[in-house]
Amino acid sequence: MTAACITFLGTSLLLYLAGALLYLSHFLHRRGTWEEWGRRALSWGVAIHAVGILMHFLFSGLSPFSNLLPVISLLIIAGLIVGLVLERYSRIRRLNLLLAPLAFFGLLYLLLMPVRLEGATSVLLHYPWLGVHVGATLLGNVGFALAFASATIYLVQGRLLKQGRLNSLLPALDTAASATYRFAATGFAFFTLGLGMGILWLFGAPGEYLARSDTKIWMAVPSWVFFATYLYLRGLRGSHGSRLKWLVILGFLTAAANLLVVRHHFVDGP
Amino acid sequence: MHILALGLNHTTAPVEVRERLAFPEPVLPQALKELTGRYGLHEAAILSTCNRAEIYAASEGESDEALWRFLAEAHEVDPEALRPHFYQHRDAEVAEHLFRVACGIDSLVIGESQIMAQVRTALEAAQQNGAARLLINELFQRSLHVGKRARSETEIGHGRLSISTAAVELAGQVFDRLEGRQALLLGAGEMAELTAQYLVESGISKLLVVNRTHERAQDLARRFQGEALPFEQMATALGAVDIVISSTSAPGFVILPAAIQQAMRQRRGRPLFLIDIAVPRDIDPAVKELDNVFLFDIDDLEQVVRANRQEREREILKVQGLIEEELKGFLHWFNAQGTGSLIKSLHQHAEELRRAELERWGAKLAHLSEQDRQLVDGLLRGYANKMLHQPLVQIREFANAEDGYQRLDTVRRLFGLAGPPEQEG
Repeated sequence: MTAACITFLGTSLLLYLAGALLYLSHFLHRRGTWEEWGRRALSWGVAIHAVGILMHFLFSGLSPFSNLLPVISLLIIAGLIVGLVLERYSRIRRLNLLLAPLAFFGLLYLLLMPVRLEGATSVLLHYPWLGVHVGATLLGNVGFALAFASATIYLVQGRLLKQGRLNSLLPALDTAASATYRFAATGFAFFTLGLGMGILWLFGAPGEYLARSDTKIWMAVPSWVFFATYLYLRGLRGSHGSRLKWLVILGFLTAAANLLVVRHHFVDGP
Repeated sequence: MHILALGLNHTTAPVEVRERLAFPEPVLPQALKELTGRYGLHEAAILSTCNRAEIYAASEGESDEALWRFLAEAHEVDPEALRPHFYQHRDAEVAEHLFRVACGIDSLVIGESQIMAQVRTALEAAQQNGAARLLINELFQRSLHVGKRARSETEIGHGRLSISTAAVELAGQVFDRLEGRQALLLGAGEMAELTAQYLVESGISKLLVVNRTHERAQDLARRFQGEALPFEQMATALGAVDIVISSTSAPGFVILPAAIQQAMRQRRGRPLFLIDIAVPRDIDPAVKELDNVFLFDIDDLEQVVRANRQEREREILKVQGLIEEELKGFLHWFNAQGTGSLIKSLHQHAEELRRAELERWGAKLAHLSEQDRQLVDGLLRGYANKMLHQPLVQIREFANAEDGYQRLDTVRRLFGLAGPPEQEG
């Protein structure tokens, strides 16, 4: 990574932290200007992050998918853009209250623990359709992150209401519930596509690189099951209980752990 | 010129006193004309609402005696007996008080916005009856400005405070839109009716009414364009509605956890919002433990109201900051008015002294030629101008000082100017 790239990503990291703190302060102390500054910090953070990643693409000479940095970065950028747009144009407010710290910790992890995906470049060159797997999984994870944020907001708002506390900063329960469902359903569709492509590749691609690359794909199955169960209960059985939201939270946490913790090994063929 | 205010409000006088001293709209024109006519006040305005009756005036003197006489005669009351209920303000205090009133922080319901319309009405009435000129106009316009700022730059006007409206506010935290929701009114207490009325105004699509006396339920249902159900159908209704307001006079619980559990099964876990305003309570508090069931009894609602009030108290500090800022602007303007007139008075005073001295020495200076007399006249004029130069420079600076009004008053006293000079404009 070039020094310029690190500077951009570091600046972006600080802006995400500032955004997260400003959103939190606004939530706790209700100062309207803090939220506005938080929004600005996140917007600038996204822009600078995007420039940093672009520089990484241009100057590192590495494939975009040769390590986790661009992959997770795209996820963070996409998630924040959706969050910022929704905050402005929809009734599901304060998503960024959760997305901002997620973005901060995600980028911090990437900068502290760079993960190289050995042999990914050549594999992707041989099997370009694998990019569909990566892209679709990425979009699925964006949906899951947004569903996670909405579900958490739902649980927090529900808890506050149970305690008899009025919090007009958070969206109404039904808004958070419906946002959770929509994000989960959209994320699930992409994630399923990505997972399907991954499994196809796992079984269909020739040779040795199958040997050690299956962990990540199989580890995605629990996330898929959590979200599938949630969508079945919510969409087909019409259940609305708050416990369902825990399925979304577990689904996202397992997906995030899989993305960040489980190493992906690409071993080039003979 | 001084600004005076004399008034009472909900914190200083009970309703029996307030209603005796109110100025209903039809009597306002006559009252304003009398204040600026018979009672010799320069300008006047009356702010009369259900929570306050206040007279604002611009007067040559500092005394509010004319206001007391007016009150006594207009309402045929003994002012001495009512004096403990009144507050009096002068100059900067008047502006600060009216700014607080317009911002809603002097209101019974903190931050309420109706007071803005009432202040505007008071100003318009004074303008239409020729009682508002430079001072009252400026004072009221600035109070409306700060009132508007308070509501746009702080959250003083957000949220609601009464028990009934707090219930509706809480319902809005569960359901984003109340349109299309159904509510069940169980029993017919006054507060429950009020809550139901707010819910209907907020757009709920249907109100079901259940009461042990079916006729009473029908009567209520008619008023809210709802539907009356027999008491036995309450359990079925619980599964269909999103909001329940209960206020029966039953001695024990009317709704038990089992009934809510059954309703929640019917609802497949969709949130159910219950308001129990009855004392003793109608709904077993154990239902709070059920998932997605939100129960609020009268104490919970009062707690919400209190918490809301505390939140608003934080906002009051912010509003107070705005008031101080605007007050500085107003006092600067007010002092500037006084500065011009004071300078004019000082020049007049010096001129009068010069003429008086010339007259006093007239006989002894009679032997002087016309040219020498003009020389003495010029000498006195120059001396007076030189004497006044530094005080005039200071007076202009006082206009910018926070306590400028007091400083200008001191100057008036120093030069022995009889009473405050007349306002310009």
